[in-house]
Amino acid sequence: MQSMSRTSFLAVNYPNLQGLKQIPLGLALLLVTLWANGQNLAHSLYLPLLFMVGSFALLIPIYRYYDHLFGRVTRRLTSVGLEIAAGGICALLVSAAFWMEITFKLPFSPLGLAMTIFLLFVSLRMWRRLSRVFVTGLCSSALMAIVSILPVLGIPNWWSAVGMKNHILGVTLVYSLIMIVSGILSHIYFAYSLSSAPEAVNE
Amino acid sequence: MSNVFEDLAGLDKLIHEPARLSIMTALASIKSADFLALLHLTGLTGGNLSTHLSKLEEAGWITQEKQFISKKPNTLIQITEKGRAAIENHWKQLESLRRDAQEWKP
Repeated sequence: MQSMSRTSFLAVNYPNLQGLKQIPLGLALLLVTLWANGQNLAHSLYLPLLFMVGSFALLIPIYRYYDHLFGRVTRRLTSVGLEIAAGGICALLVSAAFWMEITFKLPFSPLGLAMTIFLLFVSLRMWRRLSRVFVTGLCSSALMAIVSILPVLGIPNWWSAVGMKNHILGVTLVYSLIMIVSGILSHIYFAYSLSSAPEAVNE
Repeated sequence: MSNVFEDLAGLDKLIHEPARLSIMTALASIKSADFLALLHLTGLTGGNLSTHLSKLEEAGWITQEKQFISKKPNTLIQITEKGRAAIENHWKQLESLRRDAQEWKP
């Protein structure tokens, strides 16, 4: 049996630790980034829309997988409300950062820094005495921050080394890969943290 | 005046039993959970969990709602306000006993 603090942590973060749910979102962002990198943006948006719809369609079997194998936890309204508010603020921040990125020629990526703040918020939400999830989140934030300011650190045009046309595509590529990898790691942590339940069927 | 060890022996055994304490701790942190999620969170076997949930329901500390989701049976478990007060009070008692135990002198 686990410690009470661990039980409480897992209960509160039960839906958040189900990391496979963020893979379709990361995949959608990755495919759209690769499409934008290869195409003249004046062309039809049919393909990126298809990527997004297809990736989001993956969410259905993933949600069913978690419900069927791990059951469902409904969080308290206060924690959900706080997350929605924080998510709204992050969305505004990302939108403002995107506008700054395309309007001004800056030596760093405001969008990348906004994504860094979002990743920090996500990892702080699951802070628990340096848990593996929290540490992974911190590392992701650090990587995102570094990638955003690489030109300032003396490595201009780093994005061309990974085949990207510009800084904005470079940071979205890195962010999409972080989403996919951290999603997989989060799922592994989730699956192995929960106690084995040999008679695990819903009654 | 009772000493800390007498107070420890006097703890409410309904909630102090480790499996039930684990169940109540999990439920106090969230709005509700289904049976399967509680199984994973507590590490209990199905029969064991059912027994403990029945005891907690008799005490009025949780509610169990049986429903069907996609034609499959599903039991939704929620802590009641009485149950929430009981677990919070229990943790306060344990914290108080911990402090008393540190200060205890024979």
